[in-house]
Amino acid sequence: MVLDYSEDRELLMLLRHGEISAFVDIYTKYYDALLNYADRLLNDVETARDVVQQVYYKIWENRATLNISLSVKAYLFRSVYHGSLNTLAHRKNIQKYEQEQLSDFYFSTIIQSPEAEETLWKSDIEEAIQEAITVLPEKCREVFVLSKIEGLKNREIAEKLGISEKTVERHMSIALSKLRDELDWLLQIVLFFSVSHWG
Amino acid sequence: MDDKTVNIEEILLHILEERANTEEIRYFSEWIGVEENRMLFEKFKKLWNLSAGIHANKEMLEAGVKDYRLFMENSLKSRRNIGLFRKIGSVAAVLLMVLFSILWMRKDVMVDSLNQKQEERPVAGVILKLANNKEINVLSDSLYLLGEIGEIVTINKTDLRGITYDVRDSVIIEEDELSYNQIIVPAGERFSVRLSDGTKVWINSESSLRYPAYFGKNVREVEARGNVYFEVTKDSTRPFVVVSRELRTEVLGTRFEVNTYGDRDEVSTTLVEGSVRVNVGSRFVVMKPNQQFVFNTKNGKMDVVEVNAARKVMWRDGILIIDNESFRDVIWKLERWYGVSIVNETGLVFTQSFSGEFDREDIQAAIETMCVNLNITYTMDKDRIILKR
Repeated sequence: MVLDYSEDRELLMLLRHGEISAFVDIYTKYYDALLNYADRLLNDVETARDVVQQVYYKIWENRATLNISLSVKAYLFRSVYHGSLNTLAHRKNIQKYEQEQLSDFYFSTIIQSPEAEETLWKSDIEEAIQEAITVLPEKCREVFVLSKIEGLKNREIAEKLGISEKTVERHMSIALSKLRDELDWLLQIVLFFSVSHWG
Repeated sequence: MDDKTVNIEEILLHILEERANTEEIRYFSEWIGVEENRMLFEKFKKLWNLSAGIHANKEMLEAGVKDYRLFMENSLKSRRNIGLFRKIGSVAAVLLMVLFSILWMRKDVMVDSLNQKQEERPVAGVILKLANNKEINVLSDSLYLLGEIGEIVTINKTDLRGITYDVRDSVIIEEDELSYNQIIVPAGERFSVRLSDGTKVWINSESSLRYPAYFGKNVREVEARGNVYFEVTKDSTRPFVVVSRELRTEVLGTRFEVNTYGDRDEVSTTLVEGSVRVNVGSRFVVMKPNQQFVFNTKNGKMDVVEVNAARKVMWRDGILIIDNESFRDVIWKLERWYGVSIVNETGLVFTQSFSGEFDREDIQAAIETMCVNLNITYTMDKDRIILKR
């Protein structure tokens, strides 16, 4: 049974008292989004799963002393962000940027911040993208879906479709630019919104 | 890195996929200094992040919650026993990892949103038209088309480009009680369907098939337009009939294609295996494998020619075969196959004939091969290809 808690504060109070349904609520509501986010930060499903599991584990373990000043949502996305940054998988990602003394640039520009992730989560644009994907050219769409939605690596897609990795890449870049053209105005709006939102 | 050879979209892709090399990282960090570029990247990044990725299976999630609950209940009971708490914790964590190791995408969510949108605007892509005239874009990634036909058959999606009609309950239906479905495939796409009798059908670009969701007791009759290939399930009590414009092709169990594209005013049937009888009005021809029956719709002339039928139908595996064909025929074929329009602005007339095999994905290879052979160039703007000197 999942109770509908409207207030985070109430949720946290119940959690502090060892109310299991409060935990289950947090768990079912955010698990999917957090796993997805961690996977994008890390480019590694296994590690992503560990990170999210660890975040939840800690919430339960520390529930008595849990001090969440932000919303539960913000707390979770931040925890996953920091948890991901502490893993080996992430250190591998950032190595090249560090070599070029561009690690600040990496964190400020390339990596998806928990704030940005939170703003985009469950936004209308997600639905628009799913629709735009269905009208991509056949092969493009196939490659895009396998890569982004089923999470296959380029090499696996190349093998599966009997094409070269280079071609997989080309389809991906075509798909992305077609989607960007198609959704340009929408992406613009969200961009604007999120900037003013933080500002 | 030379500006002219840089494909910035590919670099952005590498950056977002976390597999850019040092050179690309350097290039990117300079490129993004321009405000316009930064905006472009922000859009790419949003797309990238929003269109991802892996998702937890709903059932698995529920199972996981159950296990977590058990672990939590135990931990509440034995709060003073820290050792046991830790032990249960680690066991539960391992258990959960196993449980979540199966991932899925939110298929049901996508179908729902798709169905909602159906009423609002016309659908693009491959369309399945149901008996009640409802149109569904079957290219969406749903595994399941729910209860459209109901009791007798269900429609299921087999892969990205195919559906099947699975019979749930064998019944006998009169021919006049049939409910018809139709699949319409636009240029640049192709699609396959397994009908309720097990017959497999491949529908090529710019083609359509109309068929009963469940066949009647006397005859299995379908209507094909464009280019359609059939592998008919044997059923000696009910002949399978394909109506394609003027041609009426009757079979019992066999593999063949019909073609009513109408290039050169011709419609045809090509037999791969078995035997078919093609009727044109009151005239008919019984065909053997590797024969192609050609009917000219303008002058009514009928002809049977020997062909390599297996090669003719390779399109169903996603391979376009061009076999000693004229420039005009090749252009028609490429336009349809790739869903593009090709304009010849060279002012030249080409009399050469062409041969080649092309993969569905690689339009550039096809166009380039042709241009190299003709010693011309081309430009490509979205779906429009212009041939130039």
